[in-house]
Amino acid sequence: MSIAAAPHGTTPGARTARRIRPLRLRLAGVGYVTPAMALLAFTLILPSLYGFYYSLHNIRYLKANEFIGLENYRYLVTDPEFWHVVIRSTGFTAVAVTFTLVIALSVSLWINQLHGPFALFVQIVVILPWVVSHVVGALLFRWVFVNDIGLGMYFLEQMGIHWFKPVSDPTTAMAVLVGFACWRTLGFAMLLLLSGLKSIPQDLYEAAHVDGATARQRLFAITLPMLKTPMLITLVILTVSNLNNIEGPLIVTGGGPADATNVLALDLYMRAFAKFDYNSAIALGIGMFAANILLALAYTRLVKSHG
Amino acid sequence: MFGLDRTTRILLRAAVASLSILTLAQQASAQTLRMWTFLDPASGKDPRERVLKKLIDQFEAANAGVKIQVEPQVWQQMTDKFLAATQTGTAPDVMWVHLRRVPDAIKLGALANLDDLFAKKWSKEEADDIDGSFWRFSAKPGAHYHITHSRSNVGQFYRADLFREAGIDPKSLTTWDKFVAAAEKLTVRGDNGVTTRWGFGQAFATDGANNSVVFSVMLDKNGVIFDEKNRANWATPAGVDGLNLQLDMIRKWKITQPGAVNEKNDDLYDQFNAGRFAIIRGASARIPRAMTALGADKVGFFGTPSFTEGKFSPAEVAGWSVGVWSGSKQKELAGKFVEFMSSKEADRLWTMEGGAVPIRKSTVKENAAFFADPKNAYLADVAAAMLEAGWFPPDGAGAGWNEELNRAAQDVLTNKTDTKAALQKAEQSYNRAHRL
Repeated sequence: MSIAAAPHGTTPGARTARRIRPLRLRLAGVGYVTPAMALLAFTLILPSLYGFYYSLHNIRYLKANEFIGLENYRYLVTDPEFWHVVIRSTGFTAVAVTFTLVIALSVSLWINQLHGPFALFVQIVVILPWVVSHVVGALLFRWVFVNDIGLGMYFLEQMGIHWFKPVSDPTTAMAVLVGFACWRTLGFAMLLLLSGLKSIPQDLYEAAHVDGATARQRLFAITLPMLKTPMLITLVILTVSNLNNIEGPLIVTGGGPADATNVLALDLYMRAFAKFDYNSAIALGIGMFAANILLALAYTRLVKSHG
Repeated sequence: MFGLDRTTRILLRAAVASLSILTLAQQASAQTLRMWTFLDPASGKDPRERVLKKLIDQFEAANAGVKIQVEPQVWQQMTDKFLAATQTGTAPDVMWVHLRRVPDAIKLGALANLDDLFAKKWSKEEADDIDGSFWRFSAKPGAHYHITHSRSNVGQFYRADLFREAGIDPKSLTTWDKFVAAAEKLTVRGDNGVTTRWGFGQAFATDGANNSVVFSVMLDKNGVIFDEKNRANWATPAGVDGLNLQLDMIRKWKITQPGAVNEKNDDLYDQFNAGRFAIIRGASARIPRAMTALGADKVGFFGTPSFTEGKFSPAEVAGWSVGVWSGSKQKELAGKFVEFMSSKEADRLWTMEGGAVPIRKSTVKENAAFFADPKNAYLADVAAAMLEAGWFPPDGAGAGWNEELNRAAQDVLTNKTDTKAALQKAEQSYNRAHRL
């Protein structure tokens, strides 16, 4: 007789079976999660711990030399350029996330009302940039806006607007970068919000309709409150995504002109791979890792409390 | 088994079997040499990739049981990855190190002494054949650590077809005055005032920057860009003159596109191929690719002009220094392959089929007809510019000077910062990053 099939009873054999079954289940559970945990340990946890250990040392030729405590962190936070980058990154992330959320919400509400092949077509168009490789997407985006030979520039020139060079001006370059971030993540945000919209019971809308609620009232009294959790989750994921994205700033604008689009992820890359200043790069990397952990915690809390 | 269900047992068995296969595979590849390079012989898009494949095939045929396993890498991060891998014991047996990073690799003890592996057995004639500034770079008495392949020099690519049309002899452009006059002649503006072709394309993006004009002018006028402690020393009269010259090509003479402020080197090559630029500043290693795109008769190369008639301004030489990892368990075999890749026969292939600058003097002497062919003339032009004005970074110099100088150019153009102040800011940023 299998233990799993043992009947509930009060005999000693049955009590032993109840004790053994959870143990076996636990072992099986541990077996199932071990590969994933081992992978995470080797690719995330151990490198992070090793990175933190490195950050407390003077790094020369990629080798940890003498212990210097928090000197690398002190150096980083006293670097005047660093705070400009932090402020710029915060602004960029806030604007990009806000725009993406608003556009994704509008598109989701629109698509939610569509039916048939057209709805499918619109969804594909919106999701496509998210599915395309980020590097390829960034290169395509750059080729449209790059000066002189870009497709966008060609059309502008044909309209007689040959003075407008979006990636050459600090303000418009940042606008291009925000545009790229929205374009890249819009499909993902839309999917999350659309699934949230689909899960709202139709009964609520029908009852509101019977009570004479207008479309605006239905939006603010039913749709948005019911979408609170998907929106918060989307917000956290978009924040993490934009904060860590390197392809956009590196490929689309290169951080310029005059550092106008130099954000944290790119700054980390340039410190490490252009200046070979691994001391400040590792300190920045650990700092960003800590910020990401906080955002991940926020995400899990949101999922647990609202899920 | 320990109360695990059937699926779990199958998964565990599969894991054990995979590990066993991996171990067996590792044992079977005892004669496999791993090599990291930016070339992908399997792709064969670049002429040098085709040459590398040919050399690997030849070496494997001559050494039964030996397999060269190329692991193509992204060139920007390859050297750093190698330096990191040496510390974890996972570096490849044969490594292509960026020339500028060779001193770092040697200080870290990452490269084996090639003299011990093969070079000390060379006859005097053979040693002389390869001897030169590249071979001596970072060498110590009785110790050489690398043989530099894919040698390159920053200079001017020009559209030979457009030069012919305009009746300009590229060899005459030895001074900045003549250069600017030629670039003005090559710049084409439409009736609506829109420029359809720029005389001289430049790129001031801070990612993957090349030597800019200011860099060459500073070396031309001062001979150095760092002081005795390797600190950046750019906010000098030469630096100001150089940066003004570079930016006046946009502001005053309008021979460089205003978009240069945030364009990248790759943009230059694309626009050069598209006929939007008559001259660009680029690394000579990219010439074969441009020739493949445009035709050999449409691309040429000349050194950087100076303020003195008949003399080039200095420009940084670059290249990929091939060496053996000091921790390799197959150093002898790896050394044999590095020596083979640099042999007379191999150098002939690299040069004549790969379009690379020769590393041996005998290659030039013994293939005079090849170098006399006009379509290969650029190799002699690159070699001449390298020999006369090639600049090697001083030992102990950091990295990122091209990026900082480009940042200064962006600062002046975008924020209207005073030229000297922008250079001061750039040198402070450089010195701070290198704790100088």
